[in-house]
Amino acid sequence: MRAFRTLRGYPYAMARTSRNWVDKSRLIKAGRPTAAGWTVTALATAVTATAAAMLWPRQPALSVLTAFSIVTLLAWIIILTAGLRAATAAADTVRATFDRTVAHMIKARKKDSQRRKRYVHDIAAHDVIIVGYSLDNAMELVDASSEVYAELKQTREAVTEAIKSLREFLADEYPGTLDSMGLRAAVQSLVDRLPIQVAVDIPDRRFPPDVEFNAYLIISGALSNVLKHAEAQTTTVRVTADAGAMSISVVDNGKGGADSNGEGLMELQLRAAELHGELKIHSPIGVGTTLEATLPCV
Amino acid sequence: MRVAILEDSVLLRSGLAAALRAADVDVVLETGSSDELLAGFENARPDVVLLDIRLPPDYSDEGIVIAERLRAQDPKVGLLVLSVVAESAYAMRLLDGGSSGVGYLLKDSLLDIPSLVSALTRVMAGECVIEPTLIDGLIKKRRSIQSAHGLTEREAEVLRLLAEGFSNAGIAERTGLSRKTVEVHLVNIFGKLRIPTDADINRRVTAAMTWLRSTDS
Repeated sequence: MRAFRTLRGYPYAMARTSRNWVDKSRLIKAGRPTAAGWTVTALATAVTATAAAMLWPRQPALSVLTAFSIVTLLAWIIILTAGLRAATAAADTVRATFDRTVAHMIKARKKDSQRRKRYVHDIAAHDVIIVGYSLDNAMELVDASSEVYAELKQTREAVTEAIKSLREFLADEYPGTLDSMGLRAAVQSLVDRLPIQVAVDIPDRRFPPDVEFNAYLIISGALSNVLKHAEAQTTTVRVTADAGAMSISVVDNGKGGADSNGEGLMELQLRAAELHGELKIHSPIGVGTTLEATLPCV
Repeated sequence: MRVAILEDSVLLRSGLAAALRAADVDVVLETGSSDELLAGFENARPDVVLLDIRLPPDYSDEGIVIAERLRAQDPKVGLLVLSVVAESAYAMRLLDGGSSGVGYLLKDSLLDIPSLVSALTRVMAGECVIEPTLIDGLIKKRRSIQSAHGLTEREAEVLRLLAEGFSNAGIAERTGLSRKTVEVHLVNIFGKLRIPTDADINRRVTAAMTWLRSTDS
């Protein structure tokens, strides 16, 4: 009896647990048996009643038992399918909410990066350059052999270093080339700035913006790991797209032993999971590291 | 030399203009608006336009688009595009439209006025100027897989200057070699890189860059 109650309450239990995200009434409607379900139940009940009536004169107990069993069985079938429909509807809603949240998050991530870039590139870097010009002017006004001049010259050199630091900060931000020229150009530009040898094999085509962004983050994260840890001779970045999915692989022949539970790699796995993809890494010690990711829906 | 400046930040723009004027450069137009530049371009008749790659409204790569439009309006005007981060894809895109009179440098060059003026002069003369640190990074990597084909030290030096856009005369001046020697080195380099020897100065920059960026040996 308790099992029967649990099953019956199944669609309503789903509504309770998804309270914050799901429209309860919609869910209950989704869980309600359909018109077809009701028709089948009515027909079966009629057939059962007729059979029972026919049996009743000879075998009253048996006919009652048969009728009861069949009606119970039908009731269970209706409730189970209703529960299944409700669970599917709930899962669909959860997935839709997830996708909406992720899209918003990726957009916010890009906007934040662009805001930081704007601040550093267009404001801070410019301020630093202006300081440089002021120092140049000041140096013109003092005797080149004076202590003041020496101080100014040192400060001027610090200004050049400051611009370099700002540039290093910007190098990790959202690359301008990704929007206007696509994944291949962005990855090739990144690779051209790195001091390691990387072969790039990416098709010259566009993908949906979120896919390009997350793919770029995965690739640049992987390459940053290669740079920091791998001591590799050769690294290859390969991207292929077929059957509605993008496959990314970053393979290096370095020392391997990468920790797949490490925070950096978990970040990359999240980038794949956000788009319902997967990322795995195979890193035998002394052989090298292979990072593979798939991002669906291209 | 007549120079136009397209730079969004007011203070930087005026500081740069003042510094250039102090170096005897005639700044004929300075503005932060691409529309104003395109409109005033014909009257101002600059020899070179100096522009940031990031401009309003989106601050992504408007500079390259403006450069392409300016070149369409006047194919002879020199264009020097500045960027805080060296994106080789932008350099290649600029070169794609023809590498004569085109330059791509880091914004750091704004801090070194004499070297900026020299870059502007080269661009005005129809040469090509590519950011040395970008070339440097590529050459260092390339040489490490080049040992089998053996570019000599001297040849690597000549290749570096070639990829930075210098003419034969410019290479000779910077290496202290005679022009004849430079030409001999170039023939050897073109053979090793498989660049056709009759490639004009500017196509060879593109060819050198393409070779440097690839990892085939």
